[in-house]
Amino acid sequence: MDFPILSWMIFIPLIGGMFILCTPKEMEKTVKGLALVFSFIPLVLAGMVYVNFNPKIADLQFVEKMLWIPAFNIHYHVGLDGLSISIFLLTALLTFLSILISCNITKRVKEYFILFLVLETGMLGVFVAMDLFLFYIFWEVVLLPMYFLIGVWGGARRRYAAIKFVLYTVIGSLVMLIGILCVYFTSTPHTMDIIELSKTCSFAREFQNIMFFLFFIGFAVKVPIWPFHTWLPDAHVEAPTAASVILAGILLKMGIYGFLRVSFPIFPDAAIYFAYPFAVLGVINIIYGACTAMAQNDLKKMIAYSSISHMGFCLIAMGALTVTGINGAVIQMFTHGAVTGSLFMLVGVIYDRAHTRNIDEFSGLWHRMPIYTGLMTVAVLASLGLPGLAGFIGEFICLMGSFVSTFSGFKLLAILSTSGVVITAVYLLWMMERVFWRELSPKWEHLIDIDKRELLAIIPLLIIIILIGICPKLLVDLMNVSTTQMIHEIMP
Amino acid sequence: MNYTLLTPEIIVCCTALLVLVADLFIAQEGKNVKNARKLLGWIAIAGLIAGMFAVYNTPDGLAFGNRSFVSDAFSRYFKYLFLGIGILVIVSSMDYLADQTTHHGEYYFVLLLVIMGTMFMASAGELISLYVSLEMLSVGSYVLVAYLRTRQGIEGGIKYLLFGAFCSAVLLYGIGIIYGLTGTTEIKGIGEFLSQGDKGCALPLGLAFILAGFGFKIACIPFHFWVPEAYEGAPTPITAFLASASKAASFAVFMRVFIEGFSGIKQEWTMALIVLCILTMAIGNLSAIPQANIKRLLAYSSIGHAGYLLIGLIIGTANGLSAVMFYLLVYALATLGIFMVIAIISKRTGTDEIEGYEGMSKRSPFLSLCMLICLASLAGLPPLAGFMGKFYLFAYAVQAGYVYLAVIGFIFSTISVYYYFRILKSMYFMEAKDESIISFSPLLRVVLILVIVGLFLIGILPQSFISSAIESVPKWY
Repeated sequence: MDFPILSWMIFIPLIGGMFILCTPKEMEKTVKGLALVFSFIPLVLAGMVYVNFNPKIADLQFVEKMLWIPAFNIHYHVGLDGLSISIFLLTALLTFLSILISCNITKRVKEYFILFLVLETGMLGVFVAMDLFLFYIFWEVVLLPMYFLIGVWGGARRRYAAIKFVLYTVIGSLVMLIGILCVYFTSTPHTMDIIELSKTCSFAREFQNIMFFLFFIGFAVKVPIWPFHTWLPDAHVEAPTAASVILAGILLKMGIYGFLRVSFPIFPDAAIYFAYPFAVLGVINIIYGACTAMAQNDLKKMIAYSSISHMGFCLIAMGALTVTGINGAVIQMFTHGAVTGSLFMLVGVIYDRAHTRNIDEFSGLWHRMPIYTGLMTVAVLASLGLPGLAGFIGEFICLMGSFVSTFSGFKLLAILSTSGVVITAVYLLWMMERVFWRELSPKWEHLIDIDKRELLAIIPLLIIIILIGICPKLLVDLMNVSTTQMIHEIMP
Repeated sequence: MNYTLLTPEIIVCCTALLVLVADLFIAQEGKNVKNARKLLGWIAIAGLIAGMFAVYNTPDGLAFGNRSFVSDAFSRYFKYLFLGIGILVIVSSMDYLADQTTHHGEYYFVLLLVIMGTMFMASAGELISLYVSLEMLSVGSYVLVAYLRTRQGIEGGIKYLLFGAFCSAVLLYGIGIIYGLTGTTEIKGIGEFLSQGDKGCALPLGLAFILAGFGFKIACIPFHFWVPEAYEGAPTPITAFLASASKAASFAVFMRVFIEGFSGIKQEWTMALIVLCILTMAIGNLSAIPQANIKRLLAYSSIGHAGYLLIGLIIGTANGLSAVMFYLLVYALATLGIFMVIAIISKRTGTDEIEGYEGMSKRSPFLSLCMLICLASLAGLPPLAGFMGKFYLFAYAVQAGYVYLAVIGFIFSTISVYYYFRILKSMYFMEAKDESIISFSPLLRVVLILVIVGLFLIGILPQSFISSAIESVPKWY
């Protein structure tokens, strides 16, 4: 395909951001309109990518490659394969929906949408960059917009949460940058191309282990893997709704994706060597996240911890190093993005009306907000893994992948992880009971149900959740060939 | 003898004299006084631009037959840098000084002479001419720091003077020892002599003294005590000059003396530089954290950046030197941008405290955005120039086997993110006490936009800048 569709997708939001920069700040309607348009175009292009994507090819598609910085043999190299396409499409969708849901903001409208569009550029770029340097650039581009989104539009402790987010991420990514430099100077010929590195270069085992660890720090902060997770609840609680959606829906997946794209293929021996610690951390994430979520009173904090728990499934599935496991991790990335995205949007809806997220203060909202309760029920059931909805598919394939692993002991870990599913069901259903199904307290008489704009933002995600739940083949077929080849290369 | 090689310096010198003469004839009172003062600034800028063209037309060669004035790609790279910095500093001064002092002619005169001093430093291939040009820079700087005769300015100037006088005496002593050992003051000759092996026991002493002299100028630990006071007390455009041109010129002579002259005995000074480098990064960055005054904060951060730059000297290869030269370019650009913003804001709000920047994003979104981009560049966030600078520097550190220096550098970069973001926090997250709009001239706006575009350009398409840095590294090996 000659049309550089991926580059257009990445940079159209940035161009939109520049347009908004030149718009006078009093024209809020124009600003919002521009933001919607410039995030909708990538969505349309994403549809074209989906249609033109050939799931039977394991290698990269839509490739664009040209020399960028000859001094370091750095290329502008982008492309899509089965590992990245699902989350890439979700990014385009989720950003558009987030912009839609945040059309009701009133504070510094212009800056808000500029930052959001820059954020989209960074996220889309991460998932298609096939050069470590380019990958790192996009990885860091995400940082500043998120810092400001949390710090300016966030809640009471926003400044603390914003700087905590930045420091954690910067430490992680600088460690990763050292790893990138070491890999570059150790490879022969010197290259930063992820595909070349994973196909042709084989590093010494010890070097692989050290590098795997350096990249691990960078990615683990983003996932976040226990014990690097403490920035996440703060950031989530303080962030405005749309930023939470993006944070949980896309940013966390950047970490998982980093493992799949960089760590595992480039350092295959280290991936096998670290399989157990990886999976054990996954189990800790699952159980620790679920137990902590149970203790939360703040709706957002609860979902934040549930994200930590759900990311654990990805980790154990990746550690298993089976085709099913990797498939499971990629599917879990996608489904969790959709499910948690919709959950955060729904929490945002109620926060806009009630100005609190404290579970104890709510009661009997069902009486006043029946449609909202219905939507919330679907999202919650998807999150706790009810068969027929997307969350179940992700978790089930993850667990199945780790159960069939050739490493001994993974069966036990998989069994342990299932307890996480149970705890998740407990805290989510308990939350539903407390918030929606008791007597209506007079305090909430004035609440009105969800409005059209919010419906429009949430319904697409729920449709995807149900669709994937019923017909997971749609998703699995996209990635199966690529993941099979990847596992084949790691474990010949 | 080939005096035409001196054309850029002669042009700058003549401009300085022209400014001084013009000052006698312009209106000192009345309603035209502001425009008359601006005229002086414009003359100076015109001279510097002419100087740039002259640099472009200067071939390689030796002006006096010996190496006291060397014109080569290395010196031309730095002369472009100094002249460019000079232009930005003068643009900023024209606004900052507009109604602060009556002595404009002298100010530009001294500033131009100081710029000329930095240009001579870039070309000095011999220790005596190096010392003289270094003094030309230093003496002028003492005057400029105290120029506004505020209490802090005088304190900073005196401290700078006392420290500087002491350190240049030490430097001169070191030069004397080296001359005594090698029988020549030409850096190239010293290099040839030292590589033959006959060294003499006083050599470490001479090295240490010269290191102290240069350490003072680049503001590395433990010769940094003048920095916070001088930076805080100086008129803000002069602070920008000290942080960029003065530091870059000192690195230019540092590189010439240590790589061209002393690379034969590299093992004798590498360890000392490593210790200084780590200490400089650590103390500079850590001391910046608690600062409440933005100029002091940036003073400490500039000490930290001197630490990063020393890594390039420790690497000591052509790659390392080109990394230093590239880093100086991106560092100078971002620093000038920041100090121009500070100059504009402090002139209008009357404060340099970080608290005074609260709510600045509402009072002037444009200045805040400039500050944001320049600070992000200094902090090394992609896709800005500062990131490429750090990437380039640390990449060659890793290649040369100094992985630990790169790791330490990265750790302190992270810390620097914290204190740079403190300024951003104050500008963007806090509410303003005083909501008045800050207005400034279109000229400053255009220049700031150019700085920002430059930062993005170097960050996104760095290849041509990297190549020019690589091509400018002389064959000293």
